[in-house]
Amino acid sequence: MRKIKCFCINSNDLYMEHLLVYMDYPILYTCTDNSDNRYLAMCVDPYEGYYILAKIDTSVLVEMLCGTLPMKDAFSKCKELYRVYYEEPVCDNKVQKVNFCDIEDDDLPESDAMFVVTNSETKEFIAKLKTEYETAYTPIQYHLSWDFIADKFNNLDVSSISLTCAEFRTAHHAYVFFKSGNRRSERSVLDIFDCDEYTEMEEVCYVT
Amino acid sequence: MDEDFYKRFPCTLCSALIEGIVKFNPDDLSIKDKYDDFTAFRVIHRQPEDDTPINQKDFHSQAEQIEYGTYRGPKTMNINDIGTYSCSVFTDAKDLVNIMHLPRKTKKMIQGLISDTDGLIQASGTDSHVHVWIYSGIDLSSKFEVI
Repeated sequence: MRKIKCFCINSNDLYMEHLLVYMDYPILYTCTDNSDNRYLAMCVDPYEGYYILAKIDTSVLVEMLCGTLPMKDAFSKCKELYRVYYEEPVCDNKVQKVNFCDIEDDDLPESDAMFVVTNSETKEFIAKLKTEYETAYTPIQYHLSWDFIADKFNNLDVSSISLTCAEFRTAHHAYVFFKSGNRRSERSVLDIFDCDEYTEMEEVCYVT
Repeated sequence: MDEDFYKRFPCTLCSALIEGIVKFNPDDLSIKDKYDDFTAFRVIHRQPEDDTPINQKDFHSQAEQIEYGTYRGPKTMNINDIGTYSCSVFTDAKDLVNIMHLPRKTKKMIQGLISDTDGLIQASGTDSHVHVWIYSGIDLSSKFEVI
């Protein structure tokens, strides 16, 4: 099948992989580069040719597609984000690397909106991603260091916090264990970390 | 299929058919010219503070949007693919839920009735997406309303 070249980022050609949302043209879709990195592309304004492109971990993409992670949060968890103004040929795309907080809210999916699978092709695509992901990674349990917990929760009854994920920075939920009553609660990772801490999460974790 | 048949379509598709860039496969029985009326849903784009009523441009195909400069971006389909020249509609509004949550938030969902006098159709099969090759001179805007 002919590969459709969609974008070019710093001389790196991106090819369309799977259409997730479309009307007459693609609105949300995945792309891959020649090194098998995966990107999530979202058309923000078809008139201006304005796109947000995110280099995305397969685990984050799977969570988004399975409806357990809001679409907006999937973008927030991406390590590399680009604002792209589409030009032809694609090597003339105007590309700007941005941080998530630099993107206007209007240019992102609605908060808390979950992706809904609407066709059988996407179901098959998710199954393919899961197989690929499970073959490549084994989830590991990470524990936050006591110093970090004490600093963050000095007035709380927290005894330990653990996250389960395949790679650092890809967990979305953490289990918080309390000293009293052996209680456990599930919290969003973003409730625990601020943006900088999350990117430096490796420093506050240990693995068992 | 002859030139009279090609002329039933707007100029973008008509020219592509005459020039042999695309063709309707006569053996493809999923392309229908006789069918029952059906309710169709579609999403239209408006810039912020643009209250322009539904109009014919809201039913342009990807090929027409590229030609008229209302879409700039990667082409999903090859220019030789007849699907590039269709207007996309969905028979189930639920299939548009993702689009409505994606930017920009000024999009509107519209609903209307399509009849076999409006154009040829082909159901995609994997969801409720239907290609509509609207006949020349047909303006669906009066049959659709924002919901």
